[in-house]
Amino acid sequence: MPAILIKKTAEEPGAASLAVTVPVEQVQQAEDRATSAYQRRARLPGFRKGKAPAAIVKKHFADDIRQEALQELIRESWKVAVEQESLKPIADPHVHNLKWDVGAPVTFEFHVEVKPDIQLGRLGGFQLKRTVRRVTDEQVAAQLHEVREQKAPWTPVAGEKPKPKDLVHVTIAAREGTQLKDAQPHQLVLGEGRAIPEVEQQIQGMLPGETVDAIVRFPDDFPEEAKRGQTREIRLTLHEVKRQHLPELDDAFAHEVGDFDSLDALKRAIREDLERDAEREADAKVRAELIEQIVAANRVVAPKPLVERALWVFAQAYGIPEDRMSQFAAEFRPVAEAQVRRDLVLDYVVEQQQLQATEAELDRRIQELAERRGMPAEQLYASLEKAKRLRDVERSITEEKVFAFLLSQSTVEHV
Amino acid sequence: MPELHHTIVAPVVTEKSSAAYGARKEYAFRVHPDATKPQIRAAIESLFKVSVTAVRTMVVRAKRRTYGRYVGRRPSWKKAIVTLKEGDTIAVFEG
Repeated sequence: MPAILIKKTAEEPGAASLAVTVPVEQVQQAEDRATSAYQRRARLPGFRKGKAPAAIVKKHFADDIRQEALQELIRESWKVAVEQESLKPIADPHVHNLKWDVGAPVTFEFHVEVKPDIQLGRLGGFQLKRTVRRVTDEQVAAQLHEVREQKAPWTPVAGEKPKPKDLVHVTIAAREGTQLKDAQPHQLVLGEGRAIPEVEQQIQGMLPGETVDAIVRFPDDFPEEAKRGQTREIRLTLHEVKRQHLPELDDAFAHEVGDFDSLDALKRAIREDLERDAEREADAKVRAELIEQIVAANRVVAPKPLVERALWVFAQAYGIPEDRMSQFAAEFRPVAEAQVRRDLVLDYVVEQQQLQATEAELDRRIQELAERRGMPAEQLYASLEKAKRLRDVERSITEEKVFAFLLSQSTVEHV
Repeated sequence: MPELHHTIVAPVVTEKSSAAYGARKEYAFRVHPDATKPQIRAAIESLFKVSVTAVRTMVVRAKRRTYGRYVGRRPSWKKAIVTLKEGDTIAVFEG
């Protein structure tokens, strides 16, 4: 039986075009298979189910059978194509220029995005600097202050005009002549720019329980363009003012925050946390720098089809509408290109050094994660699998291994 | 003589008729109730440009059909089974 003919017509890094010719015999066979599939389940008047002769079934379901035969042919030739050209496709192929005349070979073209063949000659011997940001006392103090603010209770203030940073409870109603419309209750912290400045000014001049009528003007930099510079008559009622009282910094506070024995223990924990952050940041920086150097040393080029694809994925993730796509693409192209280059390098190393995360490593990682979260490993595994996050975990293990390998090939100077 | 397409109403494509075609190359047609064998022969020959060697006819008796409470019947019809000269075909059962 003559085989399906496949010829590569065009290739650029990251994409390939293949011309496919399926000989008549193969087409005939595919059609016959499709016909008999239909014949088995066809229900035609005058025949019991599955008893209608092939010729009649063929006449009846001509279009469907053709469709099915074609799909089978495309599937089959795709398999042959992947094998023959040893393609590494990253997506399903597109079919173009399909020609199918009765009694003639079927011809069409595959367009497919493929993983480009890259050769990285130099993977090591780079000079890298790892700088861990020093955690200062001020940073610890700032972090502590934030925790204090989070924990600070709001207590009502009576008989006093609100000041910035106070939480006020107000009702604002638009007024048209004597008519009041849609009174809306609002809670806001003054000075955070949640209300337009003139409203905040008004509020600061009021006592709790007071109601005033005022005319306010939207500022010229108001986000909603249509409202800029417009004025509104409003009726404003101030119901309540609350002020935050920062809790004393003492052992009791530390205990309340999260089971720390003393304030010093809390401070230590915060410092450790910040230091871990700094370490992570330093690691990330070193990795990014390493990738950059590898890319530069080996002149890795991001193939256009892959970049397009990455852009599309980004756009999907951010929910970018169709009409803003070109602007988005222009802005994110460098990011997408960097991402593609990074993935290419990583994939190359994974393959070359056989660093794919193993089943056992994945299990161990999940065990660790589960212990940290205090839940059974099986449960975590199941929930990860359900959320389709297992691949992410696997990928992160693989990446760690890759970077461990790559970093061992270069010199890292700890600063 | 009735019009040709009046004489021959439609081919009968059923499991039974296709089995007869498969075994003996007989074609079955629904024909006008008043059509005679010579008329059927002439109609088939001029419609499909073939030579007919035999025509057998029968009247397929009506079946009773109930429509809710009412009992009715479907019309009786005449079926003709036609054998052709060796080598001649009519495109009914072929693709």
